[in-house]
Amino acid sequence: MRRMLCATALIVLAAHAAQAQDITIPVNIDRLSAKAVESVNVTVDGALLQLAAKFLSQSDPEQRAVKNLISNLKGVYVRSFEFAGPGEYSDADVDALRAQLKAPLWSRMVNVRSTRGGENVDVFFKMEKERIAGLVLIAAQPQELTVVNIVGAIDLDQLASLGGHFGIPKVDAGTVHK
Amino acid sequence: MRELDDELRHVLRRESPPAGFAERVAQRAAHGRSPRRLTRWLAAAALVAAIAGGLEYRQIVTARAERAAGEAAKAQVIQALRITAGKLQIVRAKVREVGS
Amino acid sequence: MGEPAALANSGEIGATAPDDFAGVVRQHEAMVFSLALHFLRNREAAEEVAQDVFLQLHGALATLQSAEHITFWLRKVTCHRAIDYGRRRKWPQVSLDDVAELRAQVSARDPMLTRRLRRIIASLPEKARIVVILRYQEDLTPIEIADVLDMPIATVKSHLQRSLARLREKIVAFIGDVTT
Repeated sequence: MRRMLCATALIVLAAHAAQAQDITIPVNIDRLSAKAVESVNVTVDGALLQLAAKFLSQSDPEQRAVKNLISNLKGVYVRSFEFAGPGEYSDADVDALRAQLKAPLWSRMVNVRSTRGGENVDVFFKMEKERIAGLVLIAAQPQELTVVNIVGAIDLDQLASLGGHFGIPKVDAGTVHK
Repeated sequence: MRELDDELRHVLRRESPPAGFAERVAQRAAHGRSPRRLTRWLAAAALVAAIAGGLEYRQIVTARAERAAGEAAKAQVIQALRITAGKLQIVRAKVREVGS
Repeated sequence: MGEPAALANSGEIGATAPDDFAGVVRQHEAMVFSLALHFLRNREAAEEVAQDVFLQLHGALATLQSAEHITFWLRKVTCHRAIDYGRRRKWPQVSLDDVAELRAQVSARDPMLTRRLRRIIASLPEKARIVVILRYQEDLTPIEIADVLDMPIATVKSHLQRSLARLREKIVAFIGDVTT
């Protein structure tokens, strides 16, 4: 039997970067951790990101690849919640996040909807001088909500090259970045 | 045969020095006797060891704390990239599905 | 020569630490002596090294900030001195098992295996040997060993991995010989 798709809403946290518009996670999203059976909270920016890079080995090819990938980043933020059942968060909560991701600063590059599993995935990019300066993913499923915000020049080719290592699935960067 | 770790702990367990050891040391310290057979080379090595050992202890503690924080941050970054790549993979699969 | 004043008056020393030099020696003599003993495999040499370490401690005690610091300092200096002593002396390898002072081992352990392990440990290169001793005598983590020896953690882990692999290999070969 197919595993029920968890509602994963990727709440895109647009972290403050340069003169970028601030995007904040609504308080009611953060509070979802109290209802979740499992949650992931990653907040790595500034000095902590540099510290992480320092402890990534230059001599190990895999770690060097991650080090190169994060070298241009200013912050990495993830909120991911898995719930016991549907209905633990509302569409309004997710819409409040999407509302922050407006043109001209943000562009929605991909929008995927699944009628079968109720899975919605949005990918937003922030462009500066025709280069990606930020990425936001919102993946919303009935029982899972995931938000990813990567601030800085994320190189999707480099991210794709990490596929198969560290438990990172292989990603075809060309498919997303249309 | 016991586990190797267990056996190594047994083989390398602490043993007491010969009886009267502490008293002999205290006597030598009290009489200001210099260590036996202290060659110039051993004195230099002892000085290096003393300097190394006398390094600001807090520096060691701070470095250890930094290392723990760095390793934790590294693990978080990798986890974040794993989640991101996983979600992008879903997008890719959907796009392919639509295209087929 | 009086007791170092800093030690007698210091509030920095942990509540359970003795307040006289002789007390510190008694508290740590087994640790220091055993580090030297397991590295040099000679009781006379181990006592010489241990005595020198404590005499050095007597001069440095005022600079040490806590009971923890004393332990760290003693491990560090003992390892350095034991290694230096071993290089300088090329002390003849006398089996610890032949020394009459060793207490009788009344246990279910295989004395032949114990003896074999000691010989294999003694055959390890000096850095690997001291890493193994710190790991299994003092139960230190690789990070703690790296701090004591001022060695990169990756090097510590590499020494441990290789040494344990070598120990396993030799023990398997040994047991094979015994059973056939």
